[in-house]
Amino acid sequence: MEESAPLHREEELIAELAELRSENEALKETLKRRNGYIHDKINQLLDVMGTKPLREEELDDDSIQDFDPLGIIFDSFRHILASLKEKNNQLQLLHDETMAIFSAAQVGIMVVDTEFRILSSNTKMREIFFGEVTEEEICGDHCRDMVCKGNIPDQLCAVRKILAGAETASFKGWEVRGHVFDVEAAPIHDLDGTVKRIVLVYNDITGLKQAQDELARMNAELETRVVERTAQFQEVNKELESFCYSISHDLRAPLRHISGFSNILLEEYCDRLDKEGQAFLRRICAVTNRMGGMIDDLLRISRVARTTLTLSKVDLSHVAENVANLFRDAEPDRSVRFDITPDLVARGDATLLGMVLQNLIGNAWKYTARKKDAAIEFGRTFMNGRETFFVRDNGVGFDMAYRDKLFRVFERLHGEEFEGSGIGLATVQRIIHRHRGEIWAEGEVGKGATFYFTLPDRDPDNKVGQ
Amino acid sequence: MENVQTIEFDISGQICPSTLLVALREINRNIEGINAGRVQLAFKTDNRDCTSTIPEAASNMGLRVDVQKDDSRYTILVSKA
Repeated sequence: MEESAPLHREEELIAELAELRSENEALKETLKRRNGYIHDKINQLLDVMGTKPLREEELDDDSIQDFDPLGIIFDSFRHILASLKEKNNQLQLLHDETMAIFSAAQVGIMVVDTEFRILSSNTKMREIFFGEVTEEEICGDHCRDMVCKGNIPDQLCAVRKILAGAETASFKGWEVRGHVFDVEAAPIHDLDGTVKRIVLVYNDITGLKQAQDELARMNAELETRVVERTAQFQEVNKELESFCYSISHDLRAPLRHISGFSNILLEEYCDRLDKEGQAFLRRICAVTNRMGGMIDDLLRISRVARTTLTLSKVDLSHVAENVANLFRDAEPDRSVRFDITPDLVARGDATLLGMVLQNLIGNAWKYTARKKDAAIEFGRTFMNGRETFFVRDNGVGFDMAYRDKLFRVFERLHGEEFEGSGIGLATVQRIIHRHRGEIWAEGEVGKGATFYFTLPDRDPDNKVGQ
Repeated sequence: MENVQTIEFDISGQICPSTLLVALREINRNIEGINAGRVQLAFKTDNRDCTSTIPEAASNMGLRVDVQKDDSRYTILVSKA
């Protein structure tokens, strides 16, 4: 018994050791399985992050604990989630804004899929096309049945145009069910660029179209009335001009008698009058002469309106030289420097354009009479791209405040010190207007004046008003 | 970019997945500074794979990523979007 007890104890210990070893192996197996699970999950997470799995040397427990990939990925996911949450909030806000615009828009808006099925529509769209239905009720119906009802040809179908590859589709004046629309369409693509949906916008312009038609009708009516009224004015003007011509013409004969008999009185009966009587008679002669001049001017201005224009190329420089010589010959004692740009040619009526230059250069000659170093220039410039002729002098000039009076009949800016009837510039303006040109003047008191005028295009096919 | 501190990390010689994990660890550590616009991180690497993995992960966190190439090396700059 004494020998068998230790032996028995040893056997027990061996058995216990074997059992412990077995438990240890089982635990090791369990641990390995759990570590394997963790490694697998880490690798799956790394795969989600788009990178490669852990390598062998990174797989041992110490490395994993030191590097802590699980902790890193966990923290990263937290930040990604926070970012996604923020983006979701922004998207929600954007969605709410879009829906508010969608609902409040005063144009019809509809979204369809590539099979022409209605996916959504705003209130205005339903009001225009669908009547008393909710968005849910109309959802899934075909737009061809609900909107155009098959009355629109394929080439005017915005959905078809987008499906055919167009980036946008736009149709103006699209008529359906008695209404007129401007239709705009645009595609919504998925990530690979395929068209998934189409947004259509219908702007009802029926009222606008009616207003435009009404406006066009009124404009046409107005145009007719303007033409009629212009014709009436032209008729009245013509009558007035005839009247003026007749009066002027008829006045000449009695005036000639007054003038003639006054002169006879002055020449043959002068000695029978006292000095005062003689003075009165001389004044009668002077004013009848002046009146005769005015009547001649009036007849001239009437003729301008009545004459038919005969168009040709006119060498304005040559005409200006002739006019200048005329004045030089008339008053050889005056010293006036003429500066005339050569070869200035315009298309117009030679006689009337001659009158223009005679009047303008005549005025310049007259209003530089008191100037020692008088200078008169005829030249050409370009204003706003238009060829513009001008006559400039350094004479007495005029106050720009009165420039509107310059071209009015019988209006004069200067007194008796300068002779004139006040008809010359009115005649010039009438001639330029008959050529469909423009005339205007610039001046300054004591520094001279410049008269500018334009004449129509020189192209012989461009007819000048008769 | 005034008053923005740039922190540089040289992860040359490292390959995936450690390049991404190192970058993510540093981004996580500095996320507040980056989001406040005070800090930007510059990762210098010679591993071409991580020029797509790091930008994608950082973009998902709502950050801005610029990749510059200099010879055979890359600099991945992570900053506030």
